[in-house]
Amino acid sequence: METTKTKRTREEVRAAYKEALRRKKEWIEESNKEFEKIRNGELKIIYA
Amino acid sequence: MKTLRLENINLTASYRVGQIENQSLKFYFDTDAGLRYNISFMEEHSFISEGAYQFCVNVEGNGKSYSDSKLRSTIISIIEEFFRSNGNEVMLYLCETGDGKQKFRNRLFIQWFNNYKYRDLFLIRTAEGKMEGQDNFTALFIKKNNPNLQAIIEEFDEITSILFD
Repeated sequence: METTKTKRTREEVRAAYKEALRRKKEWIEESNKEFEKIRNGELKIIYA
Repeated sequence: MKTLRLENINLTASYRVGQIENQSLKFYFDTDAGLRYNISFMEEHSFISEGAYQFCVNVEGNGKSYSDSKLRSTIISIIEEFFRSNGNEVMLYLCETGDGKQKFRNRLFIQWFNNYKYRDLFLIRTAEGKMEGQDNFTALFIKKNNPNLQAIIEEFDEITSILFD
């Protein structure tokens, strides 16, 4: 079934892009905490 | 999204790749230079309306390993498994490029992928530009046999044509 997409405005596209970047920054912060937990032995990497 | 299989990744990856329990989209490996990498795929529904996964790379420490061919092989093996398990998914790479080093890393990543032996199966679109004074880089990776290829490429081109200044 064909769907009709509404074109997004520049502001909407920028807001979506900024949100995606914000989530990535959050992920980096979380990832850095996980690195520390791995170093401290609180998290364990499993290889199989 | 179908689970990526660690055993498949480790069949071709040059470094041994591992995971943390219950985190199926995150992968870890250590390089010969002593750097620990975290590679993840994060669901992204705001930028591309069809939905996509953001490809995220984080490295512990500040060491350099750009010329490490085993690093390239390992990252490509993870991406290969992403598309093997989820052929109809789209991978996005988004980045603010605050410094020259980041720009270099972005170009290197694209160059790595361009040298990938199955590169012809993929379509890659990139865009870069300034937004509110900040340089940005974005790339979309999609398999050429994706049933929504045309619509997704058109949307990406349309979005990136108005995104930057």
